[in-house]
Amino acid sequence: MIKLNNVEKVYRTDRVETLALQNINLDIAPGEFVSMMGPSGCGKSTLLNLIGLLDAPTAGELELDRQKVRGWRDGDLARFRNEKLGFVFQSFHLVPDLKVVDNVEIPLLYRKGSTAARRKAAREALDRVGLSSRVTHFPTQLSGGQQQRVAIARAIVGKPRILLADEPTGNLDSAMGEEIMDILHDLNKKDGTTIVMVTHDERFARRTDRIVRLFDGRQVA
Amino acid sequence: MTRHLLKLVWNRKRTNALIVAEIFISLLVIFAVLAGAVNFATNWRRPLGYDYHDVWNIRADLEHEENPEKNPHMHESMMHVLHEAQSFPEVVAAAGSNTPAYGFSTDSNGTDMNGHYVDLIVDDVTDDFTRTMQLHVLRGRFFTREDDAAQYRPAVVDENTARSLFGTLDVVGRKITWKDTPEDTLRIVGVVSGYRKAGETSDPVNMVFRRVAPDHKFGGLIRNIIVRVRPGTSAAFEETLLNRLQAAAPDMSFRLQHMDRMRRDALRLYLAPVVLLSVIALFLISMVTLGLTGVLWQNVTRRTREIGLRRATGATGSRVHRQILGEVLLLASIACAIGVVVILQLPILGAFRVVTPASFTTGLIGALAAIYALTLLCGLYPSWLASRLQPADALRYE
Repeated sequence: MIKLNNVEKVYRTDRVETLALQNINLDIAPGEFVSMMGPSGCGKSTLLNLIGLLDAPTAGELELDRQKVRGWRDGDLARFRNEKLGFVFQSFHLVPDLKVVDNVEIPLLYRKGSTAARRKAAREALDRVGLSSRVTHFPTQLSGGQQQRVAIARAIVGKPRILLADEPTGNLDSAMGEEIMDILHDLNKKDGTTIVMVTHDERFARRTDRIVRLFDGRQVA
Repeated sequence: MTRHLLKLVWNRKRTNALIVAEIFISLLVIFAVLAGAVNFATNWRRPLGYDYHDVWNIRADLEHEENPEKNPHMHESMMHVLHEAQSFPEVVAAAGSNTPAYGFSTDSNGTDMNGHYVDLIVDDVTDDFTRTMQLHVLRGRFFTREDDAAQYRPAVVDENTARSLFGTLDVVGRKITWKDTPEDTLRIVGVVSGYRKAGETSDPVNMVFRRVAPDHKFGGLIRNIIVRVRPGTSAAFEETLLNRLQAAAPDMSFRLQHMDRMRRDALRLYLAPVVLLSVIALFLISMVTLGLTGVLWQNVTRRTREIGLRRATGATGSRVHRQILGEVLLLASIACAIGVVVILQLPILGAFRVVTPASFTTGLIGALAAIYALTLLCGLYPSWLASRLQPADALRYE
């Protein structure tokens, strides 16, 4: 499902060149739940951004869902992100001025479909994460755990094949973290969604199928 | 997507209120400037109804006289002065006028016609006025000696007066009765083309010329002798003419002005505040443009993470660009809707006394177009910046 061959990422400014990732080789099978661990600044989020097509590698090859990502234009990248990828972020990234249901609908705005169909899909996604009673609330009216569940609903509303979660439990207490992990597991097991999760928490990482460890931009395990 | 934008704009109403207020004020300012400009341009292109070239205005100073209108001696003196002026070969025609074109004095009156009050501008003139000012007689005739035996005071009206008072009816032979002094009833003997006494900047007015008879039968006063001279008449003739007139009426003093100079002075007086207001309006609009760009820019910066999220969930750069512009245009539409409601109340407050309905409408349409262009211009750079944001960078933005 996800293949990286000799991927490298270098950040260049006028004076400094920072090697964020080097020689990354990774093969993640469909339906696999993989966690990525490593100290801060080791390149976990950078790697997730590359897989999520939010950033481009400096060198190496990236293959997603059996498609080689090479020479893709902005429209191609956007379409792939919209149809095949779902994102969950540590800080939720909910739009505070939109109601929960409107936040969840956002990915569907960039697809064809009626308003009614969008609304139905958003409600189903919220139901899936146990928030069907909060559809008309604003994000600020929800707890951190509930906000993250809204973010997960938004990530899965378009039925993506790959879910990328960047420290989804990082801003939550352990109980809420467990709740989020339960939801992610449920998605992985029931829907067969491939999940790549960045985490600092060993307990949550152990609940995944495989742990990829990074250190100073290198893959160490 | 439109519904989504509406929700966003509505839910951010407090933040957007400032932008809407700025656009609303800009709309009012642009409307005022454009309506005024269109009105000015329309009036400028309209015929004046007379020719001011090679026309001199000689004003007699009668201010020290008490009730000069009722003083037959004063009238005799002025008629004598008029005859003297007519006697020069350099003079093509000369006539008396109480409130001539481009002069700053106006005699206004009004009459009730079919239940509504009609404002009229009045000038008392002598028979040769039409030849001197080269008026265009459309129906009937101008004043002649034939009017000496008239039972009612003869009057010539311009086509605007004819239309305002009698619609499409033939007005020759009809009477005008003043609201305040019904005993001074006039009888119309002719119609001239629209006469705008105040010149090119003036809206069409309802003009009435009353005859001042040589024998002063119906009263009236002429304070000015209007002289049309042959083209190319030298300035030296001014002195000759003034000396002769002074000799004819030694107890009066005269001041001669070329009518084109009077026109220039009148234009300056009109244009000075207009130019000043236009400069202030331009400055204000420039400030609003910069301010709006700044506010939109700040708005985009504040929403960097949201833009990153949208990119991550499938929006292309151009889609983000269009969304930001769409929001700006939506805000402009809200401001314009409020603005149009406010502007449409202005006729109730008498706006049509300042500008014509056509200028009002054109000004409103032009202001709306200008506002959309302005907001689009202000939104272009911030929305372009938003579209250039890299998703990963935008999501990391603090």
